[in-house]
Amino acid sequence: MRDVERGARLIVLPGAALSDADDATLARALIARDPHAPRVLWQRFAPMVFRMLRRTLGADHDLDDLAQEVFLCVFEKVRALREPKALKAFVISVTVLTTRHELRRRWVRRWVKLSGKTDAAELEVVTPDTDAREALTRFYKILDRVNTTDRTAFVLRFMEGLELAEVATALGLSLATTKRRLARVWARVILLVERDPVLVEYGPKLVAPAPTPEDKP
Amino acid sequence: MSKVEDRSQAADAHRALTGLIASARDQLGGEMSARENAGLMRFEQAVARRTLRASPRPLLWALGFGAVAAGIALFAVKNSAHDSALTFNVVNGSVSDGGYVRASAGGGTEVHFSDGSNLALDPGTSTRVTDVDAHGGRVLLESGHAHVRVTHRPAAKWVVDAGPYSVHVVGTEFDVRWSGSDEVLDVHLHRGAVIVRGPLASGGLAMEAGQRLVANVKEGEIFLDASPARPGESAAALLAEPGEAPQPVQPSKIEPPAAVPAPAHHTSRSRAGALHAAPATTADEASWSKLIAQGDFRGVLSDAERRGLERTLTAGSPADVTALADAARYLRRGDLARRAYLAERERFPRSAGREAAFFLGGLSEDESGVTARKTALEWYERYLAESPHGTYVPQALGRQMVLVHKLRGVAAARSLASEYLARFPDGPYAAPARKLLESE
Repeated sequence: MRDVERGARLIVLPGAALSDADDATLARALIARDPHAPRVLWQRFAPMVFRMLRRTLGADHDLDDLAQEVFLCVFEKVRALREPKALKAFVISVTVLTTRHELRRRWVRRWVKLSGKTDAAELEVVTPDTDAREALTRFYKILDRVNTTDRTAFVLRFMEGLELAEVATALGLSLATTKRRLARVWARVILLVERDPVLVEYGPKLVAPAPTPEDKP
Repeated sequence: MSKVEDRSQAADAHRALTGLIASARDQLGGEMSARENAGLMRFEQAVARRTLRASPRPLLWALGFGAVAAGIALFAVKNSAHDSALTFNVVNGSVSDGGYVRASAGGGTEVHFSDGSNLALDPGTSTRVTDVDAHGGRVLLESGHAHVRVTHRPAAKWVVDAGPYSVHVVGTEFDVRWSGSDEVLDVHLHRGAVIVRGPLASGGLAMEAGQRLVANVKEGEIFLDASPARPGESAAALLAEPGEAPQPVQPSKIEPPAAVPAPAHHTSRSRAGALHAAPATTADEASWSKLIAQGDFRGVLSDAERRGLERTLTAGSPADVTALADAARYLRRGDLARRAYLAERERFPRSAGREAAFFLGGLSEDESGVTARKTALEWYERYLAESPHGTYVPQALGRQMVLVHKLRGVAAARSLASEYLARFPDGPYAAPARKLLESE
């Protein structure tokens, strides 16, 4: 019996087992409302969720709130998960839905001029390297010109390195449609980069491992 | 433009794009900031709001149960009135009228009952055998620690009262500790089963062998350890940090960060005074926590300003100060958040104050400059020293590694990277740690 008084805060201390459990076990624990599960969920997926949010939206203070939305949504909707072992894919899907919603919200705000701030402007806080910052700002301005689904697909495939099937699942699209969209967005972004002389000149100088050929759609 | 030029331009654009993607991957990587890591607390609060019920009234319960306990204490011991009643004798201690037992300072005090049940009392422990009959007895633990072993018999009925709590026993062995000054009950059940009733658990909390329960009446919290408690773990350690191992805190051995002065050392007297100070608004505690869970940080701040920030910081309950600190942090009110966290460290050094060190590190990191980084590093080091198994250890150790890297270079950070990977191979800073170890 764990019948605590109304209003009492009963804190069942975490056991070590769940933190080492696989995703399916964690999903079942979340569904069963195991009090240890939310913490393990956060610790396991928060780095990925924040990374996806950052790479899709740019570094932004609002990411904290969006991450909360993602995790609370996962917590609330996990009962609908048919395949517990697909917990990671489920978290990715929720993150994608949240980012797409946020992108649309920002687009509307810019359109009605509620905020002059672009997503790219947020990148100013990321890197102290002036050239890299300028390049990234221009790059995200290009991504601002791509529709939300294509932008999300681009980030998942080329920045997150997800498999095509994973991208398709996260976006709720067929594999063929996903391939077409990726080919289209790649061509469009290439075109926009090509028209920006600063990026054409600076981009290749960026010191980092380039995506492998199979990264291309 | 010729076809060759076109092809060359397209190749440049392709190279530029791949470079940009790689740069974005690098710059917008997986490393989480201290602020982002701290979101775990907010998430857990939101989850708790959805799964647990709110608005505790611990003080009312304490008063009610206190009155009951006092009534029991005043009730005369009638052990001789019943022919078949159990008897008891005290070894290495004194017993006076009313069944009052005082343990000797030298230790080794035991109360032996005729049915074979036994109480071993720590030096200085005060107990009272308030009732005994044919089936068992009732013992009031006024203060201190007792190891209780009850012989199982049919229809046996034993109750150990500890402050406002009562532990109902059938046949079992457990340790019970009650601190009247801190209003903290600590029960460690070795075998058998007990039901603990009292403030926050009037319906009764069933405990199984190996479990540990720590109830803090003042803070309205009951900690029930799902796994067997570790030997020697103190109630303070359990209360201070869920999942935290028993490590004695030695504040005097930890130098305070230079930029942000650490609170002055407090005597137990002043700490007790702080604990017993009347909360500014007890009724609002739940609503502030609720507001935090709902993300209404401005609501908390407005309430606090209306109530008086200084008053909240100096006389508010732990829940209030924590809520104010979190609200200020989320609203980027670094100055106020810092004051609140420092107040936590000063007033609640054994519980919320330890966790505050982690958040103070994050606040320092929000500032620019080498001094701020050094201060942040010192707070993280302090947190890790005080809470070696605390909630935010994976994050604090990661931030420590990152800051050492920035302040002292790769060589100095390597050992931390190795330690990080050994302890948290899948932790949020595992990738940067590997990167550090792989770098020249």
